[in-house]
Amino acid sequence: MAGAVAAAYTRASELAWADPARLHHHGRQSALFLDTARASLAAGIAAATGSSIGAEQVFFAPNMRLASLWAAQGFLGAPRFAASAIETLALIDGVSEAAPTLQILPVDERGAVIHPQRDDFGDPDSVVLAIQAANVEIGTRQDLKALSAAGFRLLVDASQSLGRIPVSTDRSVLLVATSDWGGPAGVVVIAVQAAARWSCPLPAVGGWIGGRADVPAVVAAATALELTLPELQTQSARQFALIDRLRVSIRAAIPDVAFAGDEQDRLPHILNCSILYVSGESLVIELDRRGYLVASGSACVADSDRASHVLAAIGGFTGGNLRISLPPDCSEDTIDSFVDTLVEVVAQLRQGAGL
Amino acid sequence: MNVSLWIDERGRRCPIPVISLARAQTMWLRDGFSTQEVVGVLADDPAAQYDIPAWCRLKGAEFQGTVAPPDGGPGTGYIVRFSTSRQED
Repeated sequence: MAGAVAAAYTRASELAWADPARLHHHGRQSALFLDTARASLAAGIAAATGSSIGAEQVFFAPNMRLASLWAAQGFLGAPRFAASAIETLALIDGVSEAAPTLQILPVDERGAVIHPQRDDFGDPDSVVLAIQAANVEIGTRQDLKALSAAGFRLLVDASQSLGRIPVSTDRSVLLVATSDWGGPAGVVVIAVQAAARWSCPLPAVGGWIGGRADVPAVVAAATALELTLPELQTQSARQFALIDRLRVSIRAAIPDVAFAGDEQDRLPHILNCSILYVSGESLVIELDRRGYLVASGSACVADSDRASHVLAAIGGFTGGNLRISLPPDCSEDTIDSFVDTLVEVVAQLRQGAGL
Repeated sequence: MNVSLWIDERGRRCPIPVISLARAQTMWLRDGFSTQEVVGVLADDPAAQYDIPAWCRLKGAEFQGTVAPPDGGPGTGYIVRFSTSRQED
């Protein structure tokens, strides 16, 4: 967490340490901090989505798996659920606990979900599609407007998308981890749009579902969103061009690289590529030694020891994988130095491959 | 199916099986497209199930499917046919 966010967290830890469900004055003080932060988050999310979301429409869960479970349980009218093959495993796990018959939708080679047809599903209004506004690994955007226009109800995972690209439909439920915008790791927001026909499945004091609220974490999340949101939009246009520059430079400088995702219809700040004939693990380690922090969907890097299910679903190359996410202050010079470093690292790692 | 070369990379992890396949393709190109047209890669690294077909698409080779290893041993045999169609960068 950045300085101002950590400071907000510390201050709230000192002043709002009590359980906001308590009626004594410390409890009421915690409740005041929580309510204020909840209203601020609602205002930020409303601004980012261009929709009207009030404080009472914002809920909190401690992680994405529980947020997905509770969000799925809250949909009224006993709908069936479907999710694309490239949703996060946390979301798939959470939704399938609520809906064991969860149907998995295929994606094309760019990672765009193949839209279900009315014939496959019957009444679209009886179906909730759980879907990322844009895939967090490869960046490909989904056409939420078309899915909503077809009548489907949507549970939208807005991770990495909120504030960067449009994520809104007027009747969806949004999930987003506050760590996305520099908030703490332990708060996931569930934002319920007015026409979503959704009701919180458990008691939720101050919006915190299923237990005692972590008030300092919600306060820090709200502070982080206030600080970050105004930056995101200007940043995004610049980053979109920087990712183009990065892709073109890598393609020109390094042979045998497979890019994943859509070059145009994508998040502004993410590039995913696989560099053939090197291991993802050695790429991550060698780039880290030179000051670059990157992620990888290769099996040797994943905590599950399995290759990225996203790359597998799009028929992508899973070895030597890099997921590059641009930092806020990234410039053309940063990109050019990174590519120079990557060229050097790949040459070193490929030496001895005999190709 | 006439496999002219078996490459046994069982017990070796990514990126080794794909490197060996690429080496075989390089040799085949160097030898004037004469020999080793269909190769089989024996691998037990789970990543091979994605990366060998993906490599074939990228490098203009034809992935022909999987077979049980001819020695009855562990792992999977991935059958790849090199062709003279255009090499993609």
